[in-house]
Amino acid sequence: MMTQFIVRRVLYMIPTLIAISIVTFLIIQAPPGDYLTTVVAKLEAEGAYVDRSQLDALRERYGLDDPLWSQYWTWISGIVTEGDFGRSLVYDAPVADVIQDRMGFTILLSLSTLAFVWAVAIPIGMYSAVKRYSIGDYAATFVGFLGLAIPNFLFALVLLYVSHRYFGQSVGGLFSPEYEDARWNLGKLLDLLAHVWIPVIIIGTAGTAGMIRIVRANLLDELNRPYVTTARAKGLPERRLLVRYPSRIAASPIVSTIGWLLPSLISAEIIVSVVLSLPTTGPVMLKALESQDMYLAGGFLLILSVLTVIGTLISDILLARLDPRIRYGKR
Amino acid sequence: MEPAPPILHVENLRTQFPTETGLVKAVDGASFSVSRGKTVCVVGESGCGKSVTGRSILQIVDRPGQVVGGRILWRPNDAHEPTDLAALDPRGDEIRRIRGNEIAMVFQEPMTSLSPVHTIGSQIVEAIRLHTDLDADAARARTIEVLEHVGLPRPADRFGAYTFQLSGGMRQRAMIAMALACDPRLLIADEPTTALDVTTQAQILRLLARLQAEMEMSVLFVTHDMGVVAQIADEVVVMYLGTVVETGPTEQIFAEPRHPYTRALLDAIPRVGQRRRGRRLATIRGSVPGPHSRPTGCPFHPRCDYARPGTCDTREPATVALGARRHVRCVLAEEEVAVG
Repeated sequence: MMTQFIVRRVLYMIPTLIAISIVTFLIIQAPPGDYLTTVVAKLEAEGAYVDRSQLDALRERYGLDDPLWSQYWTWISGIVTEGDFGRSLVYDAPVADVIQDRMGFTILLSLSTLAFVWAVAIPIGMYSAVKRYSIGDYAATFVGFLGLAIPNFLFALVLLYVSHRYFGQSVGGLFSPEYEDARWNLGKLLDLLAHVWIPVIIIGTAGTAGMIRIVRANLLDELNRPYVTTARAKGLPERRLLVRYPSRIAASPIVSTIGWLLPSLISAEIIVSVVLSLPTTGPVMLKALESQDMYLAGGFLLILSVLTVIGTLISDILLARLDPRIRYGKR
Repeated sequence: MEPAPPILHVENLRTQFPTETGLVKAVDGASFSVSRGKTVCVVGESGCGKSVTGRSILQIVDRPGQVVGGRILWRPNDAHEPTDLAALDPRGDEIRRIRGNEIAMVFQEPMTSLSPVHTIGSQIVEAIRLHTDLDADAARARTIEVLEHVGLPRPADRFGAYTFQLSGGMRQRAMIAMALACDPRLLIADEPTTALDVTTQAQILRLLARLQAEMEMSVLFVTHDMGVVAQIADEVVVMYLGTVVETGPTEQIFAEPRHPYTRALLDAIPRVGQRRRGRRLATIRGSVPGPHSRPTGCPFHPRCDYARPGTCDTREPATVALGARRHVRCVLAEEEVAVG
């Protein structure tokens, strides 16, 4: 049953992905001119000599004189077969390399943030629901709204000040200057841990606040359902009852948001990353969009879209595991 | 010889819900008892506190409601002193050991009262493993045995079924199986047939009667349906606005109701051929007052045909005993006893 469900969902992904790649391609083609006119303009602005034959080679390489559908085919087949996303003109390097360089820290930062958000928000949200209208609930609500209301960049500046002023840390980045280019060792790892908490807290705060509200609302909906009373009448201890019955059902709406988390792994923390000068993908994407670096921007757009689709698939599978009504659904 | 003490004796039970708009006295001084091996039906209109009474016994009243007074004497074994369930901590271990084990409960809507995301088998196994030291395999075997006992066809296949894969009647059988899994001495059934069609309802009632006889358990059956009462009850407890207005053996209640409310309830049962004889279905005048506008004096007096101004609306009637197991809470009965 489950395998059949997954196979069906994966098959549905194929047309979606094709459609997404076409739209992405049209978007990166939308600005007037093509990639090479931008390159030439840039080189000429710098007063550099433009090599005609090199230009023609590139023109040939990207099939820029071909009709649109043929260009699309060159672009997408390069991505699918060789992982070649084209060349970034800002960084003067293959798009794949530019993104890859910063992927490691981005994923590290995002997963730490996710772990932080869930570890803090789920217990507090559950507490808030079970002890509704208690002092603890009001306190959690108050702090939660505060977290939602404070803009991330402001919070970033405040924490930077605090960590510099009181902990004597270097400001920004994920490493102190002395470790920046050092090889991996225990000292560098500890240095990373000493730095990473600032962006994690900053990026995680708003998410935590929102998640507390979601967990609380979902659980409150379930706490007085008849099946909870039935389980209580069976003699289950309260804590086990809470985890096994209402929380299990209240988890579904939260699991369904995992689909959006995956793309936000790459793009969500742009502003904070710029403020904190973190070596993540966010600032690169911002720069690509600003400077009309269309293959780099297109590469980002495509990856984000694919991650959204994959994320949705993952949350669908988790939901089906969690709720048999979805697994056994019609069709 | 003294009569055997009842397995359950509820005395002056009071259960209240503090709400934002005021205190709701859902059960306000109810007293009755359940004899060993008998079926007692608690009847009354919606909002009379009958369901809350059933839940109060297990201390599983929905929050913010709680049992605030009275005694619930539970005596599963003649040889032992009774336990006062009302005095136990609703979240404590003592009451938990009784729930689902000595006293089990069946609810009204099996679709919503069973978890939609767990198989019925796992929900029953959970109850068994909670109260016995059977291992997983033995608990599974026991589950299939009880499922078969309640007449679920192909019980081994249904072990892994979810509620939405079963019909209403089968779901209720699964729920009953869950309640009976640990051989309870008392089964509290809260309108277990209300959500079912008439044919299934009859099957479930027969099933409950059969199981009760086989397992020698006592049953407290909460219902609003006088037809069901006539079919299964040994004794009847009639409730109105949180109070018990009349109790007695079923034949006596039906043949000779003493409280005006019981009489009105019985008159409101539709009968075959009633229309031909040119009679309309009798109804009880007015409607049940809201929880915040509880009348003074006898709670039934605004709707009572025999109410006496100056008496019924000013003081609460006393409960008078008309026989060994016959009680009525009405001014008229008080006078009868005084004269007789």
